[in-house]
Amino acid sequence: MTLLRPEPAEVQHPEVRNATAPVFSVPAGDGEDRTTVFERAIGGLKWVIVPVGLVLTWHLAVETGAVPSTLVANPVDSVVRLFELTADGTIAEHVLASLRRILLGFTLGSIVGIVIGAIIGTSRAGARVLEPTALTLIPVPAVAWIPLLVVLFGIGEMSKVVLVSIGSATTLILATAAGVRGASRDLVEVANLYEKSRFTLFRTVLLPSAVPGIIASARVAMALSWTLLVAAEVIASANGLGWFIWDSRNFARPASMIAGMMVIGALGKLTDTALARLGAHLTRWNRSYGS
Amino acid sequence: MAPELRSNATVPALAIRIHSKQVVVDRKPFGVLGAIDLDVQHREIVAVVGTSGAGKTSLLRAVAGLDMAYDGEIRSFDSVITGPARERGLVFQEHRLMPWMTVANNVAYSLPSSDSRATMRDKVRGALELVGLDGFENAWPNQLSGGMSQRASLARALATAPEILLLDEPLGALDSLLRSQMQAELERLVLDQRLTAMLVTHDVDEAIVLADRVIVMAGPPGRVVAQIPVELARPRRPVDPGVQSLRSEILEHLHGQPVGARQSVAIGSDRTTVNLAAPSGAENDE
Repeated sequence: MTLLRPEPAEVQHPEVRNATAPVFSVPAGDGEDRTTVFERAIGGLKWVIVPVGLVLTWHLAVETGAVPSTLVANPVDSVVRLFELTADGTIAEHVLASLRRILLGFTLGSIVGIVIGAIIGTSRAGARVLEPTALTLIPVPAVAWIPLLVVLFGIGEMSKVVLVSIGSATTLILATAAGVRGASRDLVEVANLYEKSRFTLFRTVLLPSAVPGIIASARVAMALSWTLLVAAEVIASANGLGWFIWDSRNFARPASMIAGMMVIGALGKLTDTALARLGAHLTRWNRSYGS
Repeated sequence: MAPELRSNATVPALAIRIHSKQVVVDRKPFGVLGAIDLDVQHREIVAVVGTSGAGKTSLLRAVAGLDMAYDGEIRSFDSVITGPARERGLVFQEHRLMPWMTVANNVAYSLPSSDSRATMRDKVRGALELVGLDGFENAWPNQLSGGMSQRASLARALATAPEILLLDEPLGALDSLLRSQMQAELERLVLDQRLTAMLVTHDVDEAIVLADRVIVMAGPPGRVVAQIPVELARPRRPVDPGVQSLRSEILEHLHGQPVGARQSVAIGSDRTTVNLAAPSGAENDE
């Protein structure tokens, strides 16, 4: 009789038992501990392996003379110089100049890009007027604007701010237009049912639909903004981080050059993180694969 | 809203006089609705059943004022319907909540912007209490289950205190257990709020359990083939003998012929076989 009984409840199917395991971890076999002594020692610090390896390689390359130390500083000298430049306020001047340009240019460009994209996305007439021009200008590499902008505005603030704006705007136009056009007809109908104005429809349905795409593109636009700004400062400027690294190269100060690169990298990461945080907040309603 | 009309029971809540509705499909005219002459009395609950393509949803959208492209006229309490209005609340088959708005803001979405913040808050709270969603004001739609989402959607339609509630298969996407539970809640709500209701459904049992009158449509082009009053005591259950005999009658009209013996047996034991009459039951008609 007992043979006919179903399996006892505590004997679970192996797949069921592992249901709570993290998706990307490899399930270990029964009773087998696969972690090595090395893994246990390094714990959660696996991510440091690659950067430490790179810095070590860099240091050895300079110290062994494989790369001439008159042209490239080793990491220790570079970090020391970074502290010196921070302490004497030299770097602050350039950081402020660059940040001002990038924030101004990015904000202006984003607004212009979102507005143009929204017009193209919401209005047929607007799309007919603006879209052909936009689609022609968007593929033009933004760096190609530098000579013209220098001719028009000189090497002052204006040329850099406008350049960064162009890069940001062209990046955001298509994302905004596509996001607005991708809004659900069902939800637009809800707005119509409650007799919402065109502006309310835009504010409550069309724009929120476009936000995830706008945020993703804004991060691309911010990365492009740094590229454009550094390029413009290298070519035509009297201050800013791009000018600083190029000037350091010209006057054979390899440690300053690399210290400047470090600051640019850190600021790039900072602005991207800020945008990612903003995006996470604006799309906190979203429950998709990646969130 | 016109309170003097509430008491006027002689004027029908809805007077539908549609001659036809045509759309162009594949460059040829296609009749979605034929001639439809239908009155819905004040505080009456009517259910519209019919096979896919019978024009049920088209009819409801016309009544809601979302689709005005038809020949004819629909009056609500003697005023011609020319577009959507807050005195006619509509619940779609899908919940259609804005995913980026909290439950409270979604419910408030139906209210006119002329309402003060305090008024809006009161109306939203009242509507959420009606559907049993109080306490979920700040939840995101994505955090709600299917039944809760449909409740929130119902709350949005009720927040405006409509005279007429239009329901387009509002329970169609729910599982059968939840569905019968929500049917009971819907019945209580419509009766308590003294609403006039027009319910489109694929589920013949749902129609009989909830409605004072079942309208059977066939098409295309959509037309009314039968109107069956339901004079059974409430609350009704699908297993009641009275409900079962009405079901057979309605299914005969749906098939356009007497129901075969095989189908009667199946239908008697399992409500889901109603889908025999509506093969593509899960999708929208039009």
